[in-house]
Amino acid sequence: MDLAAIWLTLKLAGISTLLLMLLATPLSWALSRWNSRFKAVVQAIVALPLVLPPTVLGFYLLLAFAPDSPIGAAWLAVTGERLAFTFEALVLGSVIYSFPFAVQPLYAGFAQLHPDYLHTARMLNLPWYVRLRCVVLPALKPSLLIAAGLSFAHTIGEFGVVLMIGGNIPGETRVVSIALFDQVESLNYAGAHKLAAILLVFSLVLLMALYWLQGKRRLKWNVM
Amino acid sequence: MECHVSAKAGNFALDVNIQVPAHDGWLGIAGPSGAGKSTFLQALAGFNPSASVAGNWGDLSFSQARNVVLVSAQTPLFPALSVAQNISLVATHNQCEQEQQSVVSLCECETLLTKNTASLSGGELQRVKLARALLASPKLLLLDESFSAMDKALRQRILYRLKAYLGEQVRVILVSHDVDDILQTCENLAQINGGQCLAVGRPEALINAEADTDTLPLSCVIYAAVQAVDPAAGLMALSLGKQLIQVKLQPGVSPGTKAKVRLSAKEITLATADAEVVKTNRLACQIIQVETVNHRQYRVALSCGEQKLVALVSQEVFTRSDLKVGGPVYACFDE
Repeated sequence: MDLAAIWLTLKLAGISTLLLMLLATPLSWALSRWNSRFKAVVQAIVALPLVLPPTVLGFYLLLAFAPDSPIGAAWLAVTGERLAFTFEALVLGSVIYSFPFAVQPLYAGFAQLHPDYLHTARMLNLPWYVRLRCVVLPALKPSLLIAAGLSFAHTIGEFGVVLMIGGNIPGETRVVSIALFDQVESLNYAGAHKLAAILLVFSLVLLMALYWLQGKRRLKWNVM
Repeated sequence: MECHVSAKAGNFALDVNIQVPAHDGWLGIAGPSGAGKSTFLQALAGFNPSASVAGNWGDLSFSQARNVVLVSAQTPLFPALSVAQNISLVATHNQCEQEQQSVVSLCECETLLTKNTASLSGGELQRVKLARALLASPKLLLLDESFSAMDKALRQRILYRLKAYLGEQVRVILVSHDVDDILQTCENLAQINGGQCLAVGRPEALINAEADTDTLPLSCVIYAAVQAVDPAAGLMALSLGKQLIQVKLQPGVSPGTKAKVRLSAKEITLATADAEVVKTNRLACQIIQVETVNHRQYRVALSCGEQKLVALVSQEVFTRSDLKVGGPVYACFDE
């Protein structure tokens, strides 16, 4: 079994999810409080990865990561290494690819957090960290967990973008979905079965856990 | 006290100008639904960023006031916290832990502390919100229909205790659909309608003046000496000249003090000497004026010694009973 590929996939999904939560949370908050005619443009750009074929996204990212493009050149200048076909490139690609999966649940969560709660908390002289801990985070807990869960699951399931910008370098860019493709190409169906089953069961369990928590209302309001 | 607030909420424009000569006591606000009462309080509380607020109340400047605390439907309890946590969190961050116990008992929240916020009834929710607001050390307390879901006795009790607890230190503006709340607690009343302030004055004076029946129901206020109280029956006796009337006991009254009682024109029935009327009180009066208020009703002004009363009577009954201006009549009403 390809343990290196499994470990690499988990590492990629973990780092991507962490970055996504850090980026998507403030963006979703701002987006939910922003009223402008350009809002639709921003929302459309964020949602693009949902509808684009991953290869389209991967193709443009490949061009952007090339050493002669501004992004690729900047990366080369700072790190001294090429960006394309590295683990870092995969992380960047995954963050972009899974962005809507993080933003959309968070956006819905922030939109449901009525401003009256924040006004009231401020009026009652509660300091910002108390407002965050007792008002904002409990209201957003379901959205945060769903956003993280979906981002993680979606990153594990990506294939097209990885193939375009990562290639197939063992231990560096060879994630489970690529390894599975390899096994099938070399007609090693036994190995392919194992990897496919792992992805299938893992994704199913993750989604079931999310829906179960949601149904149980464990994700509802609750702080202390 | 001088207060100017202008605000826009959707198509509604508010431009309220209130001036009260003395700057003591509570200010009551009355007005029909949609008059702009809540918009006015929200502007004062800083909930409406587009509103402009000016003026001062004694040493308190409305535009720069800190610790302005609103209690309304727009100030929900925090659902992630229990009732006790909602209260204690605010007390802790306002250095009011000492007052917590007395405020909780003032608002009769002792039995609610262990409850979940979602399981509170409307009246319970209002009591908890009030307790929480008092623990935010308010300088200006804005009460927007904060007692509407409580029964009358509870409401009167809490308002009476609240007035004593806050003393002169805290300025209060009370918005209520119940004129009696304002009459019993507020030294001044502002009538608001259509986003503007129509009149300001003593509540009893404005009610008796019957200036605007859209904002104040047609009624009269009796201000009379208390002769006796019967806490067991929840009644008190007031003397009007030589006649006695029995009305509901108000908190804090005792024999020898004076009490304000509002009699709604709709609650007064007129009767001639021989007619039997099953009402608690029967006051001998004289009819001093009769005028048509709508197609079927007369507004009948009565005098009972110094006191003026007003009744609404159907024209049919009035004619049938052979009543006329200058003649004697009994004003009958329940406690």
